[in-house]
Amino acid sequence: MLAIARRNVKLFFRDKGGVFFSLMSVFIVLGLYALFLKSTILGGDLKALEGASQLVDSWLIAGVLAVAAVTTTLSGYGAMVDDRARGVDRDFAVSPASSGALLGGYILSALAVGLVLCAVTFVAGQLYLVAAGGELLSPLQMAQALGVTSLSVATSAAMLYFLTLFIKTQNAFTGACTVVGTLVGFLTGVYIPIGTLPGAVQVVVKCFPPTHGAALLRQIFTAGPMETTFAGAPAELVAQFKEEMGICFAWDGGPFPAWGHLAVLAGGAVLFAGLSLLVKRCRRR
Amino acid sequence: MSEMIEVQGLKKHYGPIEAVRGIDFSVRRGELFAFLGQNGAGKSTTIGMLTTQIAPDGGRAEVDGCLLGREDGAIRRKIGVVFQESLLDNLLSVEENLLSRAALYGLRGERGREAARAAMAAVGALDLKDRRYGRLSGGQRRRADIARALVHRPEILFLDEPTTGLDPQTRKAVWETVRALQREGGMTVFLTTHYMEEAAQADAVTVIGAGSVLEQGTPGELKARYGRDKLYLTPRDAEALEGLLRQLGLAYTRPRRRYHLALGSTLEAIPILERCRELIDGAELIGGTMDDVFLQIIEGGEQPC
Repeated sequence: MLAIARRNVKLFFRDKGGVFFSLMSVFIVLGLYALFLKSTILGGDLKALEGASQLVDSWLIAGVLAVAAVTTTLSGYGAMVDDRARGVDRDFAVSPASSGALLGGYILSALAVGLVLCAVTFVAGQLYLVAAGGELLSPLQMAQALGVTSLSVATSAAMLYFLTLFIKTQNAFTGACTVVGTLVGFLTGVYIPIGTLPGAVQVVVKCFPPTHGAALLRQIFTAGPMETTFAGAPAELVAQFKEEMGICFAWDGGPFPAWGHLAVLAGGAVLFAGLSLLVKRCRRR
Repeated sequence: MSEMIEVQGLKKHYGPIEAVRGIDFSVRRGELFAFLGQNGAGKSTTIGMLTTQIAPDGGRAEVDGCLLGREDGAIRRKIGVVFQESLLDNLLSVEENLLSRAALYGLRGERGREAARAAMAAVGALDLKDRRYGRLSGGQRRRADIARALVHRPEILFLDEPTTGLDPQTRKAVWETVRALQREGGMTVFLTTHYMEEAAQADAVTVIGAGSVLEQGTPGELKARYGRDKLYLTPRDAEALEGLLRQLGLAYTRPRRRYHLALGSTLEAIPILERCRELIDGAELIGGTMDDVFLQIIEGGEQPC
């Protein structure tokens, strides 16, 4: 299983163009942000507050990381789709390696690709924040952020594996990458803050497990800047801002708890792993 | 036990299409066995079943004493498969490719490296070790593919049209590599081909068509059975010609416009032509070749009577 995973990871990183494009949605978010999203978000009264720019930067980097957890993990499945499309799976089928070990190898490699590229995104994000006048996260926050990212990658690996069950060709996979890359930006509330979406759409968005990863990451990344910007502000205003920006979700009169976000992420992973097994079993019959 | 593969009544259908309709044959240990047939005859399906990729719908098969369907794991350790297409990874070197595939057989670390080296040596591809697979020529790729199939030292090597799409020179080189593996390495080789000239060099040939075994034997036997000379007569007066042929006691077939006669030797044609002279527009005399054997077997209509 490890040997197969190693081969898949090697194949991924040998394809320099592929690596670049798997980070494409990250670049797109950053580009849009630099062009106009930032000024839109800062458009209201927010701009006048101290450290508002750094706050929005931190908010954005958290979202970018949440998006990257999904899109890079999906590109980590490239080797699997390619093997299926080229018929390389037959070469594995005539060997004594079990299909479970092969599948494990593919999932491990998707996780590895996701984790490595998210780590790169995380480091780049931190450097950017410092360069833009912000501060590094504390070691504890870094650990928390990386932990949440890892869990998001794992959830994405399960969800996207389910998706790849229906992808048979390289073209379909490219299409899926584009759609997922775009959709994820909306679903995690990176392009448009969640609070500005209509109520029904908000419900849909909150059913999407990576959105919960995004919320947790935003809580971690914006904790420091919030204190500066909203120093002395009424608690009600702070709560409203957090909800509007998708940092916290309103739940039963208060914010949705952190363990709840984690549970949704873990539950999503379990749900889609189960669905995948179900589909595979039905197909065998 | 001298039989490496024993197949009895093996069947496979895809929906209403019967790809393989109950075939029987056996492959002896250490021989080069050619499985001959047109495209769509069921060659690939049969190879797919014997190499445990496709589950048969009926019949039984044993590979080196292991029952197909029940001891697939053991069979997979004994077989090496070269696919029609190149299935190694373009972005990895030949050695990296072989190492990744060796790991599928539990050959890791030093054992994997040793296995990869031995496999490359067996096909004379040691010089390709560090070359990227994607940058190799067609012939070099094929050698790497064969090395992949040999990496776990299988008992039997399956090759599905190993020379299709290669230039004649490369084809010869690949063929010689396969031949050497069988002759010098004692490997049993099972290959499919639609090149008659290749089948002619095999130890045993089985011809299949439309999912059934049409004929089997050594190339020599098949040639003796089918490779007879033929006389084609183009009639001027068909009715009279038919009457004459019947009168002469000559068996004939008429698949299309022409009358086909099978001859023991070319010289037998002379008296026949003299008698028919007035009734025909033309005649064609054909000496038996292996290509004929194949064509005669698969085009049932032209079988000798």
